[in-house]
Amino acid sequence: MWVRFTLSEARGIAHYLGVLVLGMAAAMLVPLATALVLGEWEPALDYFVGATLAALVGLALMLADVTAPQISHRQSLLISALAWLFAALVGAVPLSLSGNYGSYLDAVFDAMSGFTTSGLTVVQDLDHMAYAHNMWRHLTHLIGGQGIIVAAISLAIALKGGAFSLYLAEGRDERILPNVLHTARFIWFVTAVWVSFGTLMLTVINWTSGMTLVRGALHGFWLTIAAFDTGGFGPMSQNALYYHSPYLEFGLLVLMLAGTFNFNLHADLWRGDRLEVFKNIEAKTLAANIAICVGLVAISFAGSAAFSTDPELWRKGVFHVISANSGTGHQTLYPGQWPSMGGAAIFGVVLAMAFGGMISSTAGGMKSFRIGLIISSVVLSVKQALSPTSAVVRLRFHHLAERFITPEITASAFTYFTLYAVSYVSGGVIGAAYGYDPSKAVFESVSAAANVGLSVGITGPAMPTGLKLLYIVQMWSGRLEFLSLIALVVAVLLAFKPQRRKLA
Amino acid sequence: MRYPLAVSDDVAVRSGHQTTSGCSLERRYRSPYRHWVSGFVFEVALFVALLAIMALLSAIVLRLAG
Repeated sequence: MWVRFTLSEARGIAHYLGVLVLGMAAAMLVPLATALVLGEWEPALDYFVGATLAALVGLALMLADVTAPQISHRQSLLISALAWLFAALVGAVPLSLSGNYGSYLDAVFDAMSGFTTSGLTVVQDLDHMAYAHNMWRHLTHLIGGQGIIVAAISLAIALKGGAFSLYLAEGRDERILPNVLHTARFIWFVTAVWVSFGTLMLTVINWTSGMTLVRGALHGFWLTIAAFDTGGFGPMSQNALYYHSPYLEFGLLVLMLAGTFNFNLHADLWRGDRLEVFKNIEAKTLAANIAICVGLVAISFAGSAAFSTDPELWRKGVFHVISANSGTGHQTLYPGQWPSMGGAAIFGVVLAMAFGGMISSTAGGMKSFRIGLIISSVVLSVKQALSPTSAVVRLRFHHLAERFITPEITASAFTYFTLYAVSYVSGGVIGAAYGYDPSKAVFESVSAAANVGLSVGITGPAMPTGLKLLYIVQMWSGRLEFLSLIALVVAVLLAFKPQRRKLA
Repeated sequence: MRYPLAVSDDVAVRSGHQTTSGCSLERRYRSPYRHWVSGFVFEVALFVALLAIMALLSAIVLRLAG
């Protein structure tokens, strides 16, 4: 039986959404401070307006229920789904005031892309965008990459109302430490270490390449956030290609791999449990997937006139496979250059995007853990078919602990696989219906739904409005792994469904 | 013994059993901050090694296919 939400439950949802929107207002103080320090007065005004508006909206929502009620699991699903939408709607306000977007919808597109760590963009004249706006664009990666809910939990917001349910509803699967608050704080600790390392490394590279120290440091910080949080935004319109630096590209590759790593694996390695990474089904599947896609790219490059040397293979081939597999979307090609890579290379990149990184990381896509489980379940089925009918065949796998393949685990993996596959294909079909080349439409659809951000040129300010809305929904649903969004749709439908009257 | 719901973790912790996340409680209670420097250095080395293997693999495939 479907149970519709009561008014009291809806008010509880509104209260916690208000808390999260208020958090957005606080986050906007960072670009506001950036603007004030660097003397960018107009952007400072944009963030003053944006933060004030967010604070007012947040407070108004909080007033819906001043008692801060305990929330249920089903409420947390809706809070999680709506939190990402509200974050994008509120976060888009200062961007739309920047003058770099054709409309508010374009700003919402970029804000959703930022928060969901996708990296697709419809910004105009990015090369002349103010530092404050670039700070905010990249900060959306940081907030969204760690998880809006995780960010709130780590600041002890929303703890009264079932923090663990919220954590699960956001698409996080596992707890690293017994306490969810400690888990959220560990996620931020890992991020702080990697972002500090990456910023230092990329600042030195930029500085020695001829940038001023301040500009080099800001670009280093933004690129680090975009790579570690597997976002893919860049401060320049040519993305990573702008820097023409193999050292910077190598640094980005290391950061992208770190970002696609399960936070549980980070925890295990930092506990001293180094062998876990060699036994873990997820790590092995990811490595195998990268190797297969790199092989496909190399085969394609062998027959290509443009990219047949080792440096090209490294800087265009391996780079894009890892950018795609990690769900980052940093690009060292112009969109128009993709066809010259060859069909097998593009197929390899699409495969890498579709499968994605690890669970409980900042990466998107189907996730290598589920792909590993599906392959294992196929192996189990073959083993069972070849065994005597009376034999009990079981298959073990290692993921943080020794486990057995069970029908429940397999069903869950297949469910998510199917949901992603349906999203990829339907987005491609709709893109083709708009008149785009079907292969390009599928590429862009996979890139949006898997939160990657690589583009073959469809995404841009001139894209049809319907396609912008489609990609916004794909990025949103892909980041939440569909469940929360489906729950939201069902709740809305139930709210409009007429109630049956009971006979006296 | 496994508990069916994640919210039962605290019960599992008290009774000393495996949790729904599948990792042993003993491991979960070991602090991940204790060896974080060497763990971080190991991670960097691991990623560099993976990239080196991928570069080598792609170069071999390129030559075999070309």
